[in-house]
Amino acid sequence: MKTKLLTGLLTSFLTLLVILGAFPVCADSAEYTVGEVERLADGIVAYKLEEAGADDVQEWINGSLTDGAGVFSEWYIVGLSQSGKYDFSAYEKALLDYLGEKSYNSVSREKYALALCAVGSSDIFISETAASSIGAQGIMSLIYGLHLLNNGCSSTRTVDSVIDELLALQLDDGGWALWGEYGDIDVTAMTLQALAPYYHSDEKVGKAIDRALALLSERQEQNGGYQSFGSPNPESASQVLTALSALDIDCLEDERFIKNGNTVIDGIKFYSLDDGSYCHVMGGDSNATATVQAYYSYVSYIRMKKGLTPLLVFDYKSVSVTEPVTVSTVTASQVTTASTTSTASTVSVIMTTSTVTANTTSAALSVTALQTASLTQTETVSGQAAVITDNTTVTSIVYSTSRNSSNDGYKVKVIFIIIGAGVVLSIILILTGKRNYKNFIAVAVAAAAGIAFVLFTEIHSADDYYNGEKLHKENAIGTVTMTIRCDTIAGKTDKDYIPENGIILDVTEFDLVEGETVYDILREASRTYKIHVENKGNSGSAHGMVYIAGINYIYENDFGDLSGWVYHVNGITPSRGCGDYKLSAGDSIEWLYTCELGHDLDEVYENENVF
Amino acid sequence: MRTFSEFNPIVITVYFFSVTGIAMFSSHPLLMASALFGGILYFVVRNGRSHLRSHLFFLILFLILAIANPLMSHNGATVLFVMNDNPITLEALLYGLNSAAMIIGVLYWFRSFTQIMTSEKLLYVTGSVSPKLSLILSMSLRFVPLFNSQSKKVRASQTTMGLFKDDNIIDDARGRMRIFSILVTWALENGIITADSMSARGYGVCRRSQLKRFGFRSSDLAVLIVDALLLGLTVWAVAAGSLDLSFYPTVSFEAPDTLGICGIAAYMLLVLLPVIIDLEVYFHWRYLRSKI
Repeated sequence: MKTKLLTGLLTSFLTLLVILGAFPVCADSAEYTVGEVERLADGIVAYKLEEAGADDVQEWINGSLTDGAGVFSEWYIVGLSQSGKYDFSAYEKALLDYLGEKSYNSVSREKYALALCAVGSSDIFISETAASSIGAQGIMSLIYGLHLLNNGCSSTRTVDSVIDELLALQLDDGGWALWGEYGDIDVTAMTLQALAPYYHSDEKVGKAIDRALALLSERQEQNGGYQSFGSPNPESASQVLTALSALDIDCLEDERFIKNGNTVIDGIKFYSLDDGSYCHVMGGDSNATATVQAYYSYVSYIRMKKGLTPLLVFDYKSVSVTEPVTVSTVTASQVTTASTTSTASTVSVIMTTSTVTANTTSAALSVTALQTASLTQTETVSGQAAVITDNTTVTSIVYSTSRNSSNDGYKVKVIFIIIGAGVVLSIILILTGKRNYKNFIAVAVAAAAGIAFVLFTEIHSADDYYNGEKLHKENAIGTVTMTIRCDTIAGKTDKDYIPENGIILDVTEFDLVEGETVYDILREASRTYKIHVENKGNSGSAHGMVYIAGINYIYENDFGDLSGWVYHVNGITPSRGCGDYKLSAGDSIEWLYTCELGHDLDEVYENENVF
Repeated sequence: MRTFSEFNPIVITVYFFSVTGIAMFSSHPLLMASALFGGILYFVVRNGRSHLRSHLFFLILFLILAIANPLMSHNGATVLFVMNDNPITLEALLYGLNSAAMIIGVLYWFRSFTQIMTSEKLLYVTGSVSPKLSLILSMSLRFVPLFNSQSKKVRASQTTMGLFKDDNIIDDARGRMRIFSILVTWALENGIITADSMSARGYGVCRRSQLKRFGFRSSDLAVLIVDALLLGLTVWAVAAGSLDLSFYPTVSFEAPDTLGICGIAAYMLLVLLPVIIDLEVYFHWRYLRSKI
């Protein structure tokens, strides 16, 4: 009896442990840390309020920060505009006055333009800066210029060209620097902040960022902080924190950036003083730069935890009066919706309630229960700017970042759940007295079968799979063209999914990588142009034996017993499966629907001996 | 005053085949749902709360059948998710649900059918066509319960001999496999013995005849006519295309026209016919008893 009670207690404890283990939700601790960081940021604000003698933030903005426009206010303004809603009109006016006095070098101009963007200004200064300054003064002007482009400023430079130039400047160790052969932490981190929006959408950028992250991880000190030019300081750590947050990496949870249990935030906090400000060197006095950088790095971390955009992609968007913003060039993942609304009568630019709608959009998320576990989490932040003149275009920009692009996350969870279920089942067997060892072998075999099934199936959400993105392969050896046609049945039925002209996919070019087969190209077309394709016999990687049963809902045997899909390459009918046919550059593929086993098409056999 | 099962076997056979025939040769979800509902309802009305385990089995079978279709067929425009480069679509899932309802509905109707149609009734129905066929039919139908009872015997004797352990899953499964193999051997041998025994008793010496002990009353004719009318209306609606719908690539579920509605209503009445008759008998009987 006693042992039974003991077993019961032990097993219920184990069950609890397994259940908790299967769902690794640490929401509590995450909330705590966000709160903690918010407290640190508030501490800095409180310090500055006291220093400026202001009662609240708005007073501080209108007072001390407006007075210091162009001198020391800019980064506080950026941080404040990205952490709450305030009226920056006084500051904006002061800064514009300040800028009117004399001319500045490119990097400074870009910094001021960013500050103006942050407060939602639409002054001509921004577009002039974007048009003239990007890349004019080395790497920093590229970085700030890319930030301007990320915020939808139009320029003579395209995003791709700036990115390419930045990537070309990457050093051998993965970092960036103002000079020399070794990456500097600050410059590397700042470059990452600018490149962050393209982390997932651009493969080249992704690789470069991963290299830089490896460098940052390697150079992190045991206390969590960083050194620059041989001296440990909080500013470098602040830049790294901002960069990681922009890349959607939680520095409190990512193993790469925890040294000895110390995180990057610990590395900054190390330098905090009792009054809330920060010092530059350990034991030194309060330092303005260290304080402001710590402030905006905290803001960027909080924004990341809230699922908002990176620090320097502003909620307030700038709209130039003269030329409409073209954001479509920025990146494929940025969706632009230009809605023409006429707003009138306000003389000065007043940033009224900027609608920050952070609604996790229904389109991307509503699909399946499976998805909720892992997949695309799209946050839409839309910012609006109201502009002076009558009938001006108000452009609202929907900025979407896809997070967690890796698709394998769900597998780990499902496997955990299977293992958990197996353990629970074993416990039930123990409790009910069926303790024969063979029972446990059977449970293990069943769990292994389940895990094998999970490992061998590749599940994508519909939005993720049919992403509509044209692939630009880096190591392409050329291009091939493909067309999908069903001329033989076009117009013969009234089914509306069969195109009347018989063209399902017009002649389209695809990048070709060495070793790609006809099936690979068909699958790519299916994903890019959302064409329905059903294949049979493709399990996992071994797709030599693929048979295409249907394309665009038109199936084999739909139009008689001899009907189905065949493919021609360069007008020749290959006598092997489409998963076996390796293409060479310049090939043209045709997928054709036949009603008579291919005899109604112009057939030329690849190898007459076969038949 | 007879329950449905006491009607003339020909009426019963015609009725069951009209209900299941419509279910098998049309694809309208409302018809499938009525077939499933009527089948389960009549079975439960006849059997009450017994057979709970078998209901569970059919529920699981229903789910498996419904899920199997989207895994096998990838047609359809609404993609739920993509598995191994093949789309799993909502349309295929709906089609699977529809056909699973059809299969399970028909299975339930045939469960009631086999309960009602004893081998004697079956002989009566098929005997007029071919007495030989009816003999073979009744012998083969007898085989299933025979197999069942024999398996119980084998299991009992195996357990007695200590060859059957059921304290763990693996040994249990192996024991069941052994019983199955014993049963198959026994069934083959039994078939030969039956044949020998039959020929020893003079089977096939002369033409077979049979006894007819089921009368055909006016109520039989009435039910047959009602059945024919309702069936005719449903067949008309189905044949006229009022109840056509296609699942692929998108479900075209239009509201049926007047003829379609009549067809559906007729089929619903048809599937409820035995339950209505049985209820009428039940209340009639209560009414008569209350007067005693």
